[in-house]
Amino acid sequence: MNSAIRLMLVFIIALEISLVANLSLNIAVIIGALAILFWQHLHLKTFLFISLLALLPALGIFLSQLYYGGSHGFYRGIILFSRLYAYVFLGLSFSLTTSPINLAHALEQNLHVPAKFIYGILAALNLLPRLRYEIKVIRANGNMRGKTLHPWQPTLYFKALILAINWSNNLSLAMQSQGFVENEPRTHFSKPIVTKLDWSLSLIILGAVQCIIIFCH
Amino acid sequence: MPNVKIDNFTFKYKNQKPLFKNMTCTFPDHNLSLLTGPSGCGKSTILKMIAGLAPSNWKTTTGKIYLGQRAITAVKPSERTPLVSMMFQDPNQQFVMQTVQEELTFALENIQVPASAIRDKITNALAFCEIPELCERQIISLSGGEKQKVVLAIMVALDSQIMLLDEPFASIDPMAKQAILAKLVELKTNYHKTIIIADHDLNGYQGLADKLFTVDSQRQTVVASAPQQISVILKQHQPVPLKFSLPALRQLPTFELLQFELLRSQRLLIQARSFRFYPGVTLLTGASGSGKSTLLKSLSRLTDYHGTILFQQRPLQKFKSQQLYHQLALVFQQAESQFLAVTVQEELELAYRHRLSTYWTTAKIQTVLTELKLTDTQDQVVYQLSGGQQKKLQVLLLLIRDPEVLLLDEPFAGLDVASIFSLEEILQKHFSTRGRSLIIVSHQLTEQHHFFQYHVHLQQQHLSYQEGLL
Repeated sequence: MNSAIRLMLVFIIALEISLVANLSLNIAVIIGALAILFWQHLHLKTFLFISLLALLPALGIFLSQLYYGGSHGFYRGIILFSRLYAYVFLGLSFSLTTSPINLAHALEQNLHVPAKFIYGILAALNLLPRLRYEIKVIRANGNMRGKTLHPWQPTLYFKALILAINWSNNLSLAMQSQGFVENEPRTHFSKPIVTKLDWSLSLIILGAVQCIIIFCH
Repeated sequence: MPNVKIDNFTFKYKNQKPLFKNMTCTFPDHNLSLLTGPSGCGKSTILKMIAGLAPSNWKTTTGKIYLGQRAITAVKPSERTPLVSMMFQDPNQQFVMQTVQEELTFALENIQVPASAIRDKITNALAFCEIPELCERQIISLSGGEKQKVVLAIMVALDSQIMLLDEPFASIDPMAKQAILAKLVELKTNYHKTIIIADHDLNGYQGLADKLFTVDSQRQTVVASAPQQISVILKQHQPVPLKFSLPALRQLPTFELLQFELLRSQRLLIQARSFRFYPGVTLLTGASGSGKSTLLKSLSRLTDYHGTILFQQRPLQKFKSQQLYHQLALVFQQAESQFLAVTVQEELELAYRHRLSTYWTTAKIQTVLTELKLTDTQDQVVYQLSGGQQKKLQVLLLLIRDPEVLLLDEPFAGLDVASIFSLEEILQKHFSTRGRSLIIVSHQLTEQHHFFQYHVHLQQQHLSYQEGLL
């Protein structure tokens, strides 16, 4: 399915589960998302790890509703508990199945998001692994120069900020020198297409969601 | 093909004295022009102005720059790329995408090459630069020299009439430099490009540069050398053979590598069953991408390796961070990464406060600042210094810290010969002659004798001591 359509679909479903308190819908979304994830060969380990990670906040919300939520506390607790998992797996089903570059192309060409944002964000994503390494270097450098940098001290963030500003300057120069001009037309080597199947599948999924909202309380 | 004409041009940065005053000069078309001058003299600024990439903190400019008949101010951004493109000094920060192929595609899409023609253009550009094997590679896994070759391929694909290169060889080895220069000459001769290279280092241009321009900071202008002088000047800058000693094997090593293997993205860079670095000043050389910088990073525990590194007869991994970095420090290739404060003065105070010995006094620091011509910069923000000034300050800060061992990664990159001399003298006088050790990766070698004691060469994944430079 086209990445941009998929993003919109996920967005609409997420919006609906946050507005409608419906346990069946939450469970349906969780099952649907898990089906996609396991179909896309999600490792059981990853699944367990993420489920455990989400358990803490989910339990927190559930217990606070149970104890302080009044007469409907248990029901509200269950709704919020399942809603959180619905978000997690919905998000995961999107992020684990979509490559950033495909999404970028789809956003640029199908949804007409300005290319400046698309390539800016793409470049920033590509810089993430370097940022992690650079933070290690910043801390080692602190030690080499005799100043231990702790996470609660501003120097660490100041250095990271300087780095980011520099990178953004250089990146904009690099983009310009590669012929990129804001708001000018570009050609496209790979063209993500939106098929009829994409549209009908989206409509079916959205229809199913509405049915659950209307008929299952 | 257009020439580049600078007409009665005046330029100054905010809060600084003018770099250029009423400068007039012409870089002729269909020529390879070399623009030289000491670090911080404004070479980079000239190129950026020609490329239409105005620096963000520039102040006033008067005068005009013409590309052929057209003033640069009259060229719309969308018309700029067919006319002019540029390669920058830092090979790490010129890329938007993840792989070489994606990057070239991005560039070609920008200049609206039809989708059907993109694949052929990429193949041709990579073939021209003799790097077809890099097509699918992740950019993060390339060496500095390889990255610059990819940038050259982008310029070839963009097919701009004027190609500007800003200190493109500062951190790559002579062989990669010669390979890129040969391609530029080919672009000039067969494709009639106008090429301008800013380089403080005149090595390797003999017979290749058609014109030589020198920035004269005193007169705030650019001076063209007479045609008959060019080859004379360039001849003086041929590499001078250096001689090194071989280490006596009985002394205790500073570093010992045992069953050592170093990899970069699954590619074996260095393999050593047993290799020792000895006290003294050691020069480390090897082709670009061979793994010299990565080796320094592993010696300072900034990157993972297999096997054992003994530092002062003790496994490197056994040291606590603070304890290790009390005894050794790495001078990074990127000077900016090393700064912790905002102004030069604050950096110096910080270094003085955290010094490990009592060797440095305020008076000594002042003397060295004068020798390095940094006295006037004390109130400036470190990030606004020129590349060369940053390098000099960076080395000085770690000298003041005064650890037992300093590892330096391209400390002379972007420096002119005079600055390299004074920096080497300072390293010698205030560090190595006091029984402390240096391991230096450098492509910038001057004819200064007796600075380096030993020479370790890295070739085909192996380290060995050499008496000559090869």
